[in-house]
Amino acid sequence: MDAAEASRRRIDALAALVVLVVAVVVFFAARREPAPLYDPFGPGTAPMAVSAALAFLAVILLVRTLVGLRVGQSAQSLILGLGGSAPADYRLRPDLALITFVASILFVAAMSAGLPFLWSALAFLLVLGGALSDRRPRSLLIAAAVAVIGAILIDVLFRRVLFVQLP
Amino acid sequence: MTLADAFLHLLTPIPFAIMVGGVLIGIAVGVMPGITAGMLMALTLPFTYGMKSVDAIIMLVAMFVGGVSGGLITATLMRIPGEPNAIMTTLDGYPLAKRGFPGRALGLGNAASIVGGTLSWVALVLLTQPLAKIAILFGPWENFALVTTALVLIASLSRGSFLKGMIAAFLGVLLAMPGVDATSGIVRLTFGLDALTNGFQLLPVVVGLFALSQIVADTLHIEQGTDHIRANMRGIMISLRDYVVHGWNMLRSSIIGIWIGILPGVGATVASIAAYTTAKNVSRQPQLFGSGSEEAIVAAESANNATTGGTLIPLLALGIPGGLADAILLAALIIHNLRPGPLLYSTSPEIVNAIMATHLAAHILMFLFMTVGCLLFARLMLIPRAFLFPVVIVFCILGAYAPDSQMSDVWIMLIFGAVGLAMEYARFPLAPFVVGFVLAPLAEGKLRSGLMISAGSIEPLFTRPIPLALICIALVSCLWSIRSEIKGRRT
Repeated sequence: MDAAEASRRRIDALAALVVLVVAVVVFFAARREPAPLYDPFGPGTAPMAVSAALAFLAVILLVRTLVGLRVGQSAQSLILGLGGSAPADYRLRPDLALITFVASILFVAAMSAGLPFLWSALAFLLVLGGALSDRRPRSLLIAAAVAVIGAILIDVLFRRVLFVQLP
Repeated sequence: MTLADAFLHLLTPIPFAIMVGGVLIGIAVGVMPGITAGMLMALTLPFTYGMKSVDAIIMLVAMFVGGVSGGLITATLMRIPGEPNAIMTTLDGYPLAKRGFPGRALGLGNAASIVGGTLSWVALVLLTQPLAKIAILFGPWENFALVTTALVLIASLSRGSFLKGMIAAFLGVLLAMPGVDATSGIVRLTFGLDALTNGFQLLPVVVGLFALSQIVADTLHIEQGTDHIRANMRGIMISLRDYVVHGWNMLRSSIIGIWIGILPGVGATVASIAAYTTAKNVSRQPQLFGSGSEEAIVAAESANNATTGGTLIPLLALGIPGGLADAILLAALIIHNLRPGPLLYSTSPEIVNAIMATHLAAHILMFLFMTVGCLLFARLMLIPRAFLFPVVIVFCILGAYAPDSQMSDVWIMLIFGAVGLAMEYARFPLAPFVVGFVLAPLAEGKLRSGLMISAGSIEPLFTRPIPLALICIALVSCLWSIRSEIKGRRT
């Protein structure tokens, strides 16, 4: 078994475990739902049935992975560019993908904490635009301009045109 | 409103402007690598809240058509599929463009797109109503069996792993269950979180899964070069003779696209691959495929545009989305308090006819815009993604926030962004997940209605002919998928 296959198996086993945990948690939460009054089904029956089926499938996935049987991979992607082999002509940047996601979380956290949208969006666009650019002075200058203009325009669009009460 | 009225409605100023804007934005987004039509439609949904339902649907369908078509330009001039479904066009469009015929490559692709789109519109108009007339006779058991079969088909036809497809579908169904139970009115599975009282709202889920996760995935490839061929207009208008020469290929590939479009969860990418492979198999010059074959471009582009009409057939006739764009259209219908499915014909015929009329009119506009403005659209490929992506993320966040002004929806969007990334990284198909999420309330509601009628017995599922036939189809599909996987492993 090569390294890629071993890694794929670890990912499959981990995914099966996560799905199993979700299914078990939902199953027991659904069991606590009140008994049905009018219909023979009740609010907890469908979640219990679905989580039981999900747990069953997760166990099959886990067993197949642990025993060493292949489980197959989705051949069709709706999110382009994830997984697959590394391209030959440029570097993949998982660090930037992580920065993008973490910056998005921090942006939302800042707004949840009460920071106005305009300022948090400005900071987010500035930081992420700079991080994703090639960091040359000209690019950083453009990133700053896009951040300022973008934040103001989006703020005006949502507040004044679409009448959305932004944080 | 009849279909003719719908066409006339499209000619009035506001709907026309909305359609033109939708097609232009759709093509522009299709051209830009990293931003897909599905993502655009998901991001546009919150902006449709204040619009009339008909106008909102016109805009989304126009974006769908424009987005599917725009990928041709990037595929031909940059060898990067602007849209996933343009992947086969890159194989021959780019080599033909590199040989000095970028206009010819774009012209052939554009012509094939309009032919594929138009033929799929004919199928849409001819097949939808008869199918809806049958579906309107369905009771709760028939509808439950139909939704269940659709989910199994989506999981089994998504290619790759049936097991993972089924897990994804069940996960989508499960995540649609928290919140107020529609039948009993009891709040369930909230785990003490107030934010879950209304369940996971469709919009944050869709924006997170398809927009945010795509942007994060795209940043992985931020260093990808943007070498491109300079486009010129020479050869962009293909002659009538070309239509005759490629006519049979266009027709065959369009039929493949329409058929694959109707099948739930398969989509335009598979359609273009199937049409490309078929064209290669029957070609007198198969050796040219991959090095700039005109037949290959025509096959791939006819098929991917033909899926646009095909996927709308199950959506309009049965209320079952065939793919991502339809799932978003279904979400739009639900958001606008419309009831997708066969009853849509009687309750809101203006919506059905607007979808059909826009589908054809948007294809015509797309053909004109791509013919006249491809040089302008090609310039959009050069917008640095480093400056574009952060702005798109801000729109994702506001798109999730705007409808209810709830920060909890934004957090849900972020969580589903992570879920989408994790699922794709672990190679679980996302299509069954989304369709499961969208269809779960319908399936549960129908099952419970059926059980109430039959006093708790599931017998009608096996004694009534249509549910029984549908369950047999689902079982055969399951067994066929399992057999194919076992066979695939042996070879």
